[in-house]
Amino acid sequence: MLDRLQAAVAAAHGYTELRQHANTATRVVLRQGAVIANTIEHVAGVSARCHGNGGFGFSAEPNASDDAIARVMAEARSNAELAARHAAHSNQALPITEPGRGIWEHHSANAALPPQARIDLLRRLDAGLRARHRDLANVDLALQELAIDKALATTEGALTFTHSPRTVLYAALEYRSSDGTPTRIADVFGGFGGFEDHEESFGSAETEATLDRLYDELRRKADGVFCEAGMHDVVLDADIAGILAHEAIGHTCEGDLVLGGSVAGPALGQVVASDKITLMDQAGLGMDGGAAVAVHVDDEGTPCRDVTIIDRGVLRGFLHNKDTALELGMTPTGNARAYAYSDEPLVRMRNTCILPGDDKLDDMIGAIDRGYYFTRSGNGQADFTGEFMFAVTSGYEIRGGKLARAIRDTTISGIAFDMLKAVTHVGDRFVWSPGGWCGKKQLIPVTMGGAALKTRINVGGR
Amino acid sequence: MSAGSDVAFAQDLVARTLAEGADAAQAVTREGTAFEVNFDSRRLTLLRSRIIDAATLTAFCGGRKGSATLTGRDPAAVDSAVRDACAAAMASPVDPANGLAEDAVTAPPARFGAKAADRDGMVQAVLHHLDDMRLAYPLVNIREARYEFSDVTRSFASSTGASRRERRGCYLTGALFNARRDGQSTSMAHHGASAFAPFARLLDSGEFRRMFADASRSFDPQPVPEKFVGDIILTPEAVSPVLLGPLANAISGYALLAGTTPFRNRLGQMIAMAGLSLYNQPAAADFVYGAAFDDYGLPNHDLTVLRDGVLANFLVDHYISRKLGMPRTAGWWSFRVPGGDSPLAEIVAATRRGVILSRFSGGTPSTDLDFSGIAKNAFYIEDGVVRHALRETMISGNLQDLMPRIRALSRETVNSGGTEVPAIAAGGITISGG
Repeated sequence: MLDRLQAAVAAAHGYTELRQHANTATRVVLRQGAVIANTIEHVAGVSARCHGNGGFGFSAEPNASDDAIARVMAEARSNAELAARHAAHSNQALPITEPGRGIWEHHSANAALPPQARIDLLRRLDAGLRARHRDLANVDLALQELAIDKALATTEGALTFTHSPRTVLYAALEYRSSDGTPTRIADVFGGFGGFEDHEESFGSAETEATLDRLYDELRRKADGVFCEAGMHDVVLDADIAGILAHEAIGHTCEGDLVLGGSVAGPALGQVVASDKITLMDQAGLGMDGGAAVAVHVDDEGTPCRDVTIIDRGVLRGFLHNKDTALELGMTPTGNARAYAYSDEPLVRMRNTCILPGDDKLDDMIGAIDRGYYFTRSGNGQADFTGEFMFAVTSGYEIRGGKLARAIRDTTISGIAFDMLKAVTHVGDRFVWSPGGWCGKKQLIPVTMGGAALKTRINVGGR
Repeated sequence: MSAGSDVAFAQDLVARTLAEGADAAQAVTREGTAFEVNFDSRRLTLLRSRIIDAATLTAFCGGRKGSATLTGRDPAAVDSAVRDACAAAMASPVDPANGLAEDAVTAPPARFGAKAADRDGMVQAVLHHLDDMRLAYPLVNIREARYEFSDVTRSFASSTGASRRERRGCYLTGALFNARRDGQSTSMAHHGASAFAPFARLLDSGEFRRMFADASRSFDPQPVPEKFVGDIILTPEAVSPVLLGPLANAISGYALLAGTTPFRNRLGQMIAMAGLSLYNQPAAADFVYGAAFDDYGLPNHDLTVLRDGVLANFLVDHYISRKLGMPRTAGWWSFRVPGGDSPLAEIVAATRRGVILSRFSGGTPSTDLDFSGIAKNAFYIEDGVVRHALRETMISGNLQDLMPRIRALSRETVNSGGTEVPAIAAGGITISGG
């Protein structure tokens, strides 16, 4: 495959990326014990992106024949020339980077499992939950596998292939109180690797025990209280810190958003956080190999490198593709990623995390007289301005340095750098999320990681 | 590719799936082209063209069901997809609700919109737009903007012999934007518009002028003076994410299957203000992203969902219809809420204290329909006057409680291609600052 791509780009005139790309996604969903989705998708094709005289052109076709490769290269070049003819803003060439080369075959060492194994697993988990907890109103279970195969050749000499699989088990439990009010709670398992790598873990007694604890949490939440609205001292558990790293900070440091006027743009070199905060966007599989997304060479052929965004409180770096690096006079960082074969690479995060500190969770909770400990989050959003919000789906009051009543769903919000400056403790336990997604124009899998933080934040009430 | 070959491909997939051992099968294909001009405030950033060719085939084997999706028509990929769909089906438990829509029928092909993109014309339109923007909204900074044309034929075939086909040529423009002045940036906003015909002037499409004007006057935002219970006015851009989307999910067949939606026993009851009606009209000629038939090949019909505040119908597709023994009502969603009597300006003027917002930054409501999030692209209203742009303003409430507290629908409505709604004002919302 790579030889064919390499031969094709060798004949290209001007900067060209040629990518053969397949996403294979398997999805099985159970609701109330019924299989409501049971699909396998194979979305594959070839695309080319060309650049010349300030114009980019892109073309994609859903097959990878030699004819299709020739067509997408010609069409992408034609589009780039049309763009340049009408609106060339610069005749500067894109920055040249060391060409990314290498093959990363993250295939499972275990034998492939048939579709029956997926259905059987979910039905077994579902039956077990219902048998042990007969008052559950609903159980949603979803098994989602995504394997991304990317082969890339560029006129700069990049030549690379990566197979990056991720498998996630999603479990949501619902309980209806005596007054009919429904309460829901969810957890996610899995991470990097194929179903074959996770099947044993998903079906283990440990997973069942975790689901039982989730049920207990649900019952406490059903009897929980609404938060008092306003500013509070809080401990954000590691999962929430990871989302914070991605949504509230990471996006504002993406080169295209910096160019768009994000709050981070003018703050480079300035103190933006407590000196306990170091925040990175990491290449490969992250610092410990535990991230859920493998990105070794980006989709422009740039070798991926770790980017330290905040170093002990000081804003140090942004995330770039070649275009934003050119515009801002910086160096490409290997953050150009495309989700599907028909998508052009955009500046995207990879494995974004707040590094752990040395504080103990008990000490962090003990340092709060009246506040909250938030343990699970739903989705979140952030803004150019640094303003962010996250849904919080589980947590507890803190009263006199101890955990008190469970809380109902709430929302937290703030200004990212203000919140990071208020951090007084960073926990010593680091966690990668198993199944994050980012939805900037194209969906793309990402990993978010972090350690618990003690800070001050705006909490929504009812 | 000849006209009708898309249906032939769907029929071929069905035949292959039957040959693989399925006792019934269906296929939905999407085939066509797309061309896209991407731009920001300063330049064209990318011209992008795509060939679209995707198919989803579904195999039924004795009450078992499995599906596979593929792109392209490579014979090996087709064989693999057929095997995958059948293997998935055979792994699935028997569910009597699984099965073809036996009442799907063959109907004449339909076509809407243009057949091909005028690429040079689209590029020129974007260049004019950038000139327009510099003159009319010099503070507005556009990112991730695009002007797109897609021409897609969607076809259906099943082993009952039914087949359907429709072709839609659609123009779409959308942009992410904020305003910048003296190093200060406002919150980002997003807006889009779609049409069957090319836009004569991009700036005049959709609600871009109002949205750009709002961004341009959003500097120096302040929080609300204090926590209070007041009104929210959702502009049409905010109606779907705050109200319509969560409501549709809560009255969908899949929510009924879960059994926890608070609306499960409310059919025929008043759940919203008396003046609020909601219709599902996927086949309406003015909905660019509508559809003549659903993914089971069944024709989409008009449906009254809310009639003067009364829940008239749930949104039930073919599978849920069989699963729960309910009438099939809606296999595709394209909603319309008729406007009211008052112009938006009068609704604002009648607001004693509240917030008008065009974007809601918040999670989807929880199962109990509680919601909370940040009012974005929002302004504070007091004594009928828009006072200032807002920052760090949280709104929270419950969808069930909000619906009866709707007090006004604007006369003006906005058709975004898949929905048409007015601005909606409701009271009793908790609004708090940072």
